[in-house]
Amino acid sequence: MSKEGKIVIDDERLEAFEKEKEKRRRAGRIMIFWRRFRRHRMGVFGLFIIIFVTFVGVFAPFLAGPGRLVPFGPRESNVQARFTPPFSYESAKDTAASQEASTLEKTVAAFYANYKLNFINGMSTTALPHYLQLSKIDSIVDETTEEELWSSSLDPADYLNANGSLRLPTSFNGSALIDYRTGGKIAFQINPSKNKLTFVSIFLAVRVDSPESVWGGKFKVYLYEAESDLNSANYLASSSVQSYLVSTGPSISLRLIDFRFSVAGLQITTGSTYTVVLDTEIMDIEFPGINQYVVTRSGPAEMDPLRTTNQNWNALDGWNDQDTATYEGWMAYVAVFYVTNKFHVFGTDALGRDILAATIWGATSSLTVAFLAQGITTLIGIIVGTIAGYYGGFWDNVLMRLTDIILAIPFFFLLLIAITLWEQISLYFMAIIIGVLGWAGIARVVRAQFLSLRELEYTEAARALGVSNVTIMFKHLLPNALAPVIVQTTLGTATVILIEAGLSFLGFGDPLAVSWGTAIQWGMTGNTLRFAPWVATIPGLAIFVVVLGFNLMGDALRDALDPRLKN
Amino acid sequence: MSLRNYVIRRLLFSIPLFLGISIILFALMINAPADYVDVLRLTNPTMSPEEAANIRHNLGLDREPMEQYILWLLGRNSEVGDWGNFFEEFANFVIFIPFRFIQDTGVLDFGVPDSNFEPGFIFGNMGRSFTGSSINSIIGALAWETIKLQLASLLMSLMIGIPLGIFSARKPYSRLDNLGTTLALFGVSMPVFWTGIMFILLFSDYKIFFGIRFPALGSTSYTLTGNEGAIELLVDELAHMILPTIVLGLAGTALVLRLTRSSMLEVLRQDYILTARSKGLPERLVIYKHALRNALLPVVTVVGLSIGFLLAGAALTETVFSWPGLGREAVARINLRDYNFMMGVNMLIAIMVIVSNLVTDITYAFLDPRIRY
Repeated sequence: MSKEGKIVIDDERLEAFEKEKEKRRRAGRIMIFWRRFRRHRMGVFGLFIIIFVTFVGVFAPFLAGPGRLVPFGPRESNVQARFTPPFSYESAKDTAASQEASTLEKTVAAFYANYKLNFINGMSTTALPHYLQLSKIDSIVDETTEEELWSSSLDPADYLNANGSLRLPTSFNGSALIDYRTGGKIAFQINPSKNKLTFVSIFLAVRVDSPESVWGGKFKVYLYEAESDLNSANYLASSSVQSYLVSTGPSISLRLIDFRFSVAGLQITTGSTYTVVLDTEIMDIEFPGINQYVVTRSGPAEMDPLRTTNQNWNALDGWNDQDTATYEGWMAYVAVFYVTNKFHVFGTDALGRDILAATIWGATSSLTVAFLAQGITTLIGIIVGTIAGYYGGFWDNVLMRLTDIILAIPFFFLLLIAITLWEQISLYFMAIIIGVLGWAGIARVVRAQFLSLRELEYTEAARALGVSNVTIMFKHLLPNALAPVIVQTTLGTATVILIEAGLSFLGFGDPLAVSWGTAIQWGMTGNTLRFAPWVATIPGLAIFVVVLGFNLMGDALRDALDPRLKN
Repeated sequence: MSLRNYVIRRLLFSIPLFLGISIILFALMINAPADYVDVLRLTNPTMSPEEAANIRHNLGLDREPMEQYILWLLGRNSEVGDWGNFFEEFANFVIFIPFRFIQDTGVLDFGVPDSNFEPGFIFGNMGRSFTGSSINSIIGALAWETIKLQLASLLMSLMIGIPLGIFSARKPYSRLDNLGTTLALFGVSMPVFWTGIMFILLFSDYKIFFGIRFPALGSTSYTLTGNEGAIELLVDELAHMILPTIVLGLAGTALVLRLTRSSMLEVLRQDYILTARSKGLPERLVIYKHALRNALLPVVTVVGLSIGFLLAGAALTETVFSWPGLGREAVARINLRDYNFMMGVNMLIAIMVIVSNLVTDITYAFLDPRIRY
């Protein structure tokens, strides 16, 4: 051996070595495990993600919704708080940006300009659909001044004939006013130049003067032939929509409502004139601070391929590149989303709901369901697996057949069916359902472990000493069977998050909670995906990151807990 | 035990399994607070209570749960919607089946009377959905759309996942392995419906792929006039399949890659691989002949399971892409509380799962000679 390679052992080194040895000998299971675990850098990263998101979820009431710290109050009172941006409108009022924002929205035209500016700044212009280019938006900017628009009250004589039938305004310039308290009717004419007419879009602008308010209405649209009596029931087609609007500050909020007619058996003649009547009926709720709303329209517009992604397409004619230009409907060009600014860091959806706030609240919902459901799953799985694996025989047969039954039904369908057992779904019901139905996998794992463990000598010894079965099962055997269970639980939590998001996405979630899946669904309604891709993107990224964290940690745990499995 | 006896035993065991599945599903649905008629009343508030009761009676929803279950399972007299004189009807139905069949084809007339007996599930008739159409025909119409999507994505995940997994296992911790495992981890972690939305946005709206707009809605264009040739139709159909197949296949590919890699690594450490190598066999032969066959066992399990759940489709992906498949239909029917339909679909899938599990187990015996039944 060469001299350089020789290790000199002096007393000091020996002492340190003994100390380290003693420390290692005394280290508990958890310490040893932690040493092994932290060698996996990605696993530690996953753990960090999980801790971070849990923190965000727990402190969501303090992170989102300023001035409304109702941490665990009644859920209904929290609903509005969840939709407000995490940065206070009031507290930021003295900043230049907020002054600019509030002054810019003073006139409708200025609002359009402001919006347009934001929109262009918010995303790269190349990504903008061609019909969102500046010139197009300019072409529909209403030159009506604020005073004209808001101060004029609606006189029934303006739209009713002497006999009470609706009269078409002779100069319908694209806007009209309806009293917000009583509702009312408004009619306008359209000239389809193509033989397809399946939708009419109405563009509502609501001016809100108070900081927050909810406003809602029921809208019906009737399609008449031009010369027919508008009051009778001889309309060609009708369609109705219920819509509401959550406003988060003094502003003019815009809402685009699509009405889709069933065109079965409907003959629309090219070039003829038809009358569209919008009948509004206001919902019986409080509207603090809303004065009136204005109905505007514009058109014609191109058929938007994304707007009906979730709808039933059977009644509609489709689209492709060539067809897009030939399709004709009546819709507004201007989208209604706030893009990134001082108050809405991740932008808002069409109802003005802040996406950052939704993402923060989504962490609460998702992790509540995930931890609760996975806890139930693990508990039931361990108990079932233990009993089946330890006793064997009759109980094994019964429990394993039950497992087979559950595994033979598609899990997602089973959940969908079970969720209809509650009229009002809440996060806790969701968690319980997912937990109670999802234990089959863990039970199988535990059973397999017990089948081999119960044959070992120390089990025999414990039995010979007269230790009770329950003690043997849960004290002597279970700790030795836990390693794969811990891994399964970690990976299972990731799956539960995906399942919860999927259920919420399909609309089977808690209607009062904001979940990531629900937020993605907001991003799919109507035109949102086209005009505001961030609504669907941001919550989806959140899901992705959390699930990635659980998966990373699960992989690291597998390596750390069972060195034999290490690749 | 011979293979034949094993199969027979498994099939016999699946009968109580089948009954258990149907009872659990039925119990879940019968206990739901709102039924189909309640949903109808939501959309039509003017419906009178008598009308509602009448619809319930016609659908058989006012019967005792046990009675409903037996009628669903065995069959009923379609005229009274009841047992009627069940055994007589049933006997008539069974005895005259061949005669009635010939008579229906119009070749011969035996004078067999029309039967009021509507066979139940055990005769392969899933009954009528609450909306009135035959469930067999609904499934028949939608099944192919679901199957083609599922098969295509399964094929994609096997064709990409297995070779990549083998390569990763042969050179673990190489650059390509790290890339592959990272991408696989991403694929497992992405919610599939969100991936679908992002794909629609990127490939259909922003057209980032050479400016080509990939169709993202439905399984065919709705602008078809009916005058297209066969090739045009085929191209149209395939074009519509691209995005959903890739989205579904990504998750599958990730799963297969991870499975193949880990089991291949496990197998490559075995003694017989060392033996094969020390015999001087070329590496190609060692990998593809000795190792791969054993390493693919877990992949076979996954494929077997996905074939069993084939008809369940992918409710989320189908919803995102408006794909007219069974998964999307099932979600719509759940919203309608159309429990007959859900019973039918779920039982059909359960049977497929039982059969495919059996086939998977038999395949095991062929792939791994150590396994005997």
